[in-house]
Amino acid sequence: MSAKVTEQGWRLDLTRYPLVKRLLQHRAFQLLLILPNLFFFVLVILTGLIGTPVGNRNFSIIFVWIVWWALLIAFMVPFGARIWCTMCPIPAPGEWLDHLAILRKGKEKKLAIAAQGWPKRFKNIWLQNASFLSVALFSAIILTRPLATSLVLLAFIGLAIALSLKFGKRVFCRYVCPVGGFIGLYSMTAPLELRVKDPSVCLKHTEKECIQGSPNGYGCPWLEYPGNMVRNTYCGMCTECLKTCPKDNVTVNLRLFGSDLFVARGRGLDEAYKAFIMTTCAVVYSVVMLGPWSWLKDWANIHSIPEFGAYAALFLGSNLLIVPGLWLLAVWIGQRLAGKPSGNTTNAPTLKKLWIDEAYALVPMGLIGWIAFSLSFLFVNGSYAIPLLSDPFGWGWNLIGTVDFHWTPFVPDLVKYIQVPLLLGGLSLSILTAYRIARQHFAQSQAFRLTIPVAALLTIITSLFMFLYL
Amino acid sequence: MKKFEIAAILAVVGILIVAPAAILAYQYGYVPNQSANDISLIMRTPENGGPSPTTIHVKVGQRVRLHITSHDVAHGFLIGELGVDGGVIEPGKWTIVEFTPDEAGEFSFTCNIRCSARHPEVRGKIIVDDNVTN
Repeated sequence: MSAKVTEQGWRLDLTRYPLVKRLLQHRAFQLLLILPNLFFFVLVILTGLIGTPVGNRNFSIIFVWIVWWALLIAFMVPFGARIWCTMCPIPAPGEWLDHLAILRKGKEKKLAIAAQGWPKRFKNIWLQNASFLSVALFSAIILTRPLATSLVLLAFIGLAIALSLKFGKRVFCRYVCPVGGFIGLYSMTAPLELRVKDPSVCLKHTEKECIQGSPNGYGCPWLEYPGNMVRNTYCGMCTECLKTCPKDNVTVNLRLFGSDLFVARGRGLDEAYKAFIMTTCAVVYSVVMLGPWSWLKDWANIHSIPEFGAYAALFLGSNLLIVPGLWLLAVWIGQRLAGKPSGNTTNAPTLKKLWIDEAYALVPMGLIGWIAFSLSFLFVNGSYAIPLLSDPFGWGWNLIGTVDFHWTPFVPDLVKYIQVPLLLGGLSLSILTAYRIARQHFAQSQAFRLTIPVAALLTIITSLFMFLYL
Repeated sequence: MKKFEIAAILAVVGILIVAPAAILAYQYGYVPNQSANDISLIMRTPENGGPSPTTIHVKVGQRVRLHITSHDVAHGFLIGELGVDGGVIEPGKWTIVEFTPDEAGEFSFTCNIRCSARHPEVRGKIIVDDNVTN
């Protein structure tokens, strides 16, 4: 029997299956996942640069922002954690140039170059918050203009190469990538994790090949120490530590959904803001793209500079001030209702601590809000992908005979019947998460009282989603 | 391992260089079902640069296949004097219009669907003569 219940809950060690273990430890594992995506990426860049500028007839727009995005947010992140990071082609060229190798174990910069060279003030996800907001602010352009999509992706790959050559490791993925930031946050919900089997083995083992690297593999490209890892947030699932650990102490587990949300260690304001930003953006996108206010679409589309300025102020204000402020208000009211923790009152959490901790309750609802939002697009616009398989550039090709397939929304009237239960489920999970986080500080009845205003705010946000979808 | 590394390098080179080159070669070197009489025309509003090309040369008595697409909004395509109407040219879709000019001269093609505030400017010339290179 390979499943067991640990202190962290139920786990199924997947490396107990020899085939899985051999696969994960093979040097070709990651490359074989990257190569098809590299081809996809090259096609995206080319179609964006030289294909038709008509968004819905261009591979880059439909396959990145509808197909890939829906796969990422609805399947890969909630079920596979950072599995996309395992196969993402963006950092690969920089890594190959840095290693001077593709498949074999090549050169490797010393850990200290990245650990000490990368500015301390950026050793968090604030840059990722900023990069995500920057892309999101201009998303009405980036998501509809193939050329803009290509240029943004080229900028990512250029930056990833530059940072790889300067610092080694995956500094771009860890600290800069706008997608990596929210994947990390939401991957805490996934039923998949890479962890050490027994942390005490790591404590006694001094060589630390998982950090330093070995002939079998690289030191953790994500600058993590697997022996200390208790959350998915910054594990890129590259499986290098599975290759380097001489103690056979690293594994990949199946586990229950949402396990990391209740891990207190590692929580921070940068991650809390990521939760605020992601939830706010899901609402704002729904308002702008699905709402009936065409003038707002015009504002976001930069019809004029003053209008876009107003949109930017609204967008950034709601992300950085309004939603975090409302959350702070809800937590403050909850703290008042809860009173001081019984027993040792010196351990009473500050308002800031509660504000940050409770922000993780936004993760289930935010993720499901994004899934619900993405389903609208996938169901309604997914059929645009079919003719593009024949004519990705919009040049009049008909490679597999599907070019004349007409836009056919897939059960558009039924989407809401999927979205509503999803949103209600997300709301329930978020309220439950808020309560369980409150229980880490308070007794049962106090935690319940703390949760009331937080649950009320979560319900308001969910209602807003429903108003837009129904 | 060396063999595998070489295979990996070849795969990456194939994806980064050979595949794009093959795509471009397919489009610009070998275009299926096209001949010298196949001419591409992109319709755009004046705000987006206007039609391209604006002048098309064809030969008297030779069948012409115009491959027309739009890069922005729905346009029409009409050569009134030759009685050619391409119908609606939808953004990103290709419409093929065939005709055989039987007299030399200069004819206007126009968009006959109101496409922008500067719609009347969406027009170009079909020059029909005997000495042609497109």
